[in-house]
Amino acid sequence: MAHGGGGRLMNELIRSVFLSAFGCPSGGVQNDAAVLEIPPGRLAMTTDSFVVQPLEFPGGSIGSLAVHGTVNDLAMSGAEPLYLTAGFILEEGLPLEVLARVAQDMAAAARAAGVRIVTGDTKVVERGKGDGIYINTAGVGIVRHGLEISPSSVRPGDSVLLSGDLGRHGMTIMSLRAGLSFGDGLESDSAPLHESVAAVIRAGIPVHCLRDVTRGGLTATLSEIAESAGLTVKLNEMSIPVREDVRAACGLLGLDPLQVACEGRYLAVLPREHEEEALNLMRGCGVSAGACVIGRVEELGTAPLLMTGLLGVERVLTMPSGMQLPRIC
Amino acid sequence: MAITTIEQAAAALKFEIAGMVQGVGFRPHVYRLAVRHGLKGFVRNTESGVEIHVEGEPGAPERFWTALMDGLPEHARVYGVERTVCEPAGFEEFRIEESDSTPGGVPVMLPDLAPCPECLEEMHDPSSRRYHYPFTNCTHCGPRYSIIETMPYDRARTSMKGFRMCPECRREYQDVEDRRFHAQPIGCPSCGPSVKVLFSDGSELGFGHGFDTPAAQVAWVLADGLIVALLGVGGFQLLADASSEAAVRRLRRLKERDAKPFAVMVPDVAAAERLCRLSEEERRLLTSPAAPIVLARGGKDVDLAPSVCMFSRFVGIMLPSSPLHALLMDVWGKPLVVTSGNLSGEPLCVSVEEGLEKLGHVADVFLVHDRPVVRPVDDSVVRVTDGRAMMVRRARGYAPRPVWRTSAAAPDMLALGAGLKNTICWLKRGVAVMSQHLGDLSSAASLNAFERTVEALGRTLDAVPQVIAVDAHPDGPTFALGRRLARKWNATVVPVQHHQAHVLACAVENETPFPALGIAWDGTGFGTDGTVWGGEFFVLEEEGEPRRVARLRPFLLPGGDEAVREPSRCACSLARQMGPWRTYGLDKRLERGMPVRKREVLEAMMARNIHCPSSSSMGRLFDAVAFWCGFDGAAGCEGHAAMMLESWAAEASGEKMPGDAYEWVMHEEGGLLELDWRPLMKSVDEDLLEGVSRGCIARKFHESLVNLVFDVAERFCLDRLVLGGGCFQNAFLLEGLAGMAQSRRCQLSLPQRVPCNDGGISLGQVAAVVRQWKG
Ligand SMILES: [Fe+3]
Ligand SMILES: [Mg+2]
Ligand SMILES: [Zn+2]
Ligand SMILES: [Zn+2]
Repeated sequence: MAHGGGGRLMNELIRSVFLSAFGCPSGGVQNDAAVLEIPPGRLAMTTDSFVVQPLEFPGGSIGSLAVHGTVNDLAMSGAEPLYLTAGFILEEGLPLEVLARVAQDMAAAARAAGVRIVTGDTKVVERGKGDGIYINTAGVGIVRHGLEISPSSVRPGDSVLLSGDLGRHGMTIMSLRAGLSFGDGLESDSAPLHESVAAVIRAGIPVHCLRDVTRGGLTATLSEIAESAGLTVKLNEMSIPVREDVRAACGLLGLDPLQVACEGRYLAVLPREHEEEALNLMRGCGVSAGACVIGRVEELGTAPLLMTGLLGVERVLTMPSGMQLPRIC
Repeated sequence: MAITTIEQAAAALKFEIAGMVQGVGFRPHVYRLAVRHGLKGFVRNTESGVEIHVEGEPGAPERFWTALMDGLPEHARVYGVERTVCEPAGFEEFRIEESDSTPGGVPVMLPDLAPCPECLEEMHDPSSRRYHYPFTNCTHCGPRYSIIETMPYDRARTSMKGFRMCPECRREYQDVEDRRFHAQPIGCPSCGPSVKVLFSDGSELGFGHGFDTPAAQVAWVLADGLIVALLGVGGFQLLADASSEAAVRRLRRLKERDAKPFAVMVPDVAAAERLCRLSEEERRLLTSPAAPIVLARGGKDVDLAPSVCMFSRFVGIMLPSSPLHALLMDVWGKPLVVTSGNLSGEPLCVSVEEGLEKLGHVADVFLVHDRPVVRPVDDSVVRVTDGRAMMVRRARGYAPRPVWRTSAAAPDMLALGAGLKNTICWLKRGVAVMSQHLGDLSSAASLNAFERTVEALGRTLDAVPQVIAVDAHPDGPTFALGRRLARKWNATVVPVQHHQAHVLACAVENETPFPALGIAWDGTGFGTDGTVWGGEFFVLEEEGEPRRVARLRPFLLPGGDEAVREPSRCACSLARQMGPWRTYGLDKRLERGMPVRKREVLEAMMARNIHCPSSSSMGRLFDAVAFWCGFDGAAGCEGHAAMMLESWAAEASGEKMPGDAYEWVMHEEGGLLELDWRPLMKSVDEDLLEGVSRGCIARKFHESLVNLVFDVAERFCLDRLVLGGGCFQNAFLLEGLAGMAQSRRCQLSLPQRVPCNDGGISLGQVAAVVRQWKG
């Protein structure tokens, strides 16, 4: 693959790749702007960029990740995702078949999530100036509920629900990079979450806050919610699901499963009296079949995020600075 | 000279004394002396000390003062005196006045002191009304810091306020000639606190069954191999029979304590001598009013269950530190394991309810009392190296004595210390007051205790900080709390680099003249360059920040904290980074000590930089060498592998050494002197392959470190050394350094009153900010 205007032939090849995946030349329609039909309601809009190594991994690729990430960001405001845009930055030298597979994966993910990729763009940069593929997606969705879904709606006494086990996406990526392999294959949890969320909202449950568990893992996501709510979230260590193989890999790499990224898990904070109903609705969706209650919201205590262990010792969980430095002296 | 003459002949003088003058029998002493000199006036406690007004014949006040200074009460310390010549006010007698709370001074609280000989004698005297009374104390001994709510120190401001003195106690309390004159915690069986024995469900164990005292009852329980929780001076302790392997193991299991040695209490010095070889200084410390745990070398045939000391060649030994302990040891009569009554990672339990709730699954029986413990105060731990006492854990008996004095013009500040082995330090008008050991700040309970201590110490000192110093580790617990407290007090937050704080703590404690070389060796601390430090050298000048001039050649820590728990990871990292040198011996060792798959993963992590922080840590180098020499498995407690290496070296100290100490190579690297361990490791490897004993290798390694210190000092033309960091808890290393310092005529300053480990960081932080303020 050659970059810029020089590689006319390359540009043609890229067009054909996108054409076969999306039915249009650069990830979107052929016009410069997409003209969209918008159903009644409030609009939700978001954008996110995706960078991951390796580009392909068990359970997905950067392509499906770019769809799920943006769909999930829309879903966390309780919106129904409708349209996506896709911008690609490709590094010179990227094998075309990799691009083809990523594009196919992306198209399949969009179809499965019921969203349309309506416009897009592609740039090629010099060799060494990119990491194979970078993707940016923006998304538009429609909000049909009247809820105020935000940390400021969280109240003491609320239940904290987690949609499934933690750490699979992050450990899949990290294990690949460290050359770890698992007998039965660890797969990324990357998945669209909007249907699970919609099931809860449609049932009329007054959800207070939703957040997908991404970078920084559960610790970062919950710290952020608790801090902006000005309350304390108290977790029960025993109730937080982590698969044995994920736990083992974390031990080997010295990582805390609670700080590892997911791409298909979310947290729902809602009034305790709706806990049972919400759990049942979540468990009814494939992506959140493993939903469980992991903690409760309280008035602000010692720290925004606390976790009670087996013997009843309450540990303070702090927002990781991302440097992963040892704390032990 | 004219002024002196006038003063000497003055008929009235006023003294304002700052220092440790409350709770030590100072005022009665002054009273007796004043009366003897025919003086009138008064003496009273103030927030910062004591105020004396004396008047009488011209010259008599001065003679009184000389006599006072010549013979201060045993525990009194005078830091500063302000004297004023004044007009006689016409007092008719000399009085001890009620306390006066004038703000502005620096109040000094006294620590808790072990029972004095007179009180012990009284407790053992069947004719005394305090026979077998477990709360016997006087102005020379007894609880202080652990019962004080606010200052000044008066009964009404202690947790004794709920106990009404009986007429007899009141008489003693008011009699200036009595040993208990104004002894605030005074009490007796009819009016003071009392003990109870409870089952772990809170129900009371009835008396009878032939036991005349609770101590006898508890001794019987212990003899059965059971675990007792005792509410001591500063909180709960867990007790078990030190000769019963089953009991000690059970305690380890329930307390979730793997390998860290337990301390033992023995009835008297003679019993201590049977367990340990005691030096004179160790004997002095054991019997001192602070009554700390002394880490002493174990004797030949130590009669303790193997699980007490585990791998350590030292025995943590202590004498009874309170009347209750003394009574228990009278009946028990042999070594008793005594360990802190807390859940792992939490502070001591201080109330009966808390104890029953949290320790109910550990202890079978509770020996409790009804004198509330105001704050958790753990037992202190001290060791003697090169004839000098070095604090390992500073708490009961020492805290909150001031640890440093600097210019009174320095801004008032609060240093929050490090995240582990935490202490905090307040600076008020130039007096640095350090808290007791507060432990690791990982749990909510310990963070709460930490915040309460910050508040309580600040309140008694009446201090509002202008600066809050924190450890520079961005994920550290003190960082977040520091910012919160700074908002509350409108103070500036100053992050202080961990190792700079280590060396400054030692320098200010010893008042070491500058320039000096600071050596900070520990496990890990956050460096200013975003990497993990731990094998650092600093040049300390009169002013400015300590300048980092040398460091160990950095290596990777595969898995971060996991590399701290598993020494084999550090060894694996060193093997990979040996460059042109191949370490065949280490390769073989790793083949035996680490699964192939794991090694592959660690290699991949290091190759791709997955969770592999870079570190110049000396502690981790110790770990790697220990693994090389045969240390297996995971570290059961902090510094485990390094302690093993130290004890191997010590075991081999009689042996003939094959070859000299290992060589270090130094080279300039980016403005820093880099201390390259690779040639040294190659020599270690060769020795191993040649079958040199691990003891000799460990010894040569220690000696090479001693040489390294002095080589670096020579390179920077410095002959004063200050030490900081947990690595200097290594007695073998310190003895080597002390010996070399003597032969090279260098001045070696050791951390003594303040721990060399992270317990000293808070003082170093204060010192760092004071330097900034000067500069
Ligand atoms: Fe340290
Ligand atoms: Mg996102
Ligand atoms: Zn006494
Ligand atoms: Zn009495």
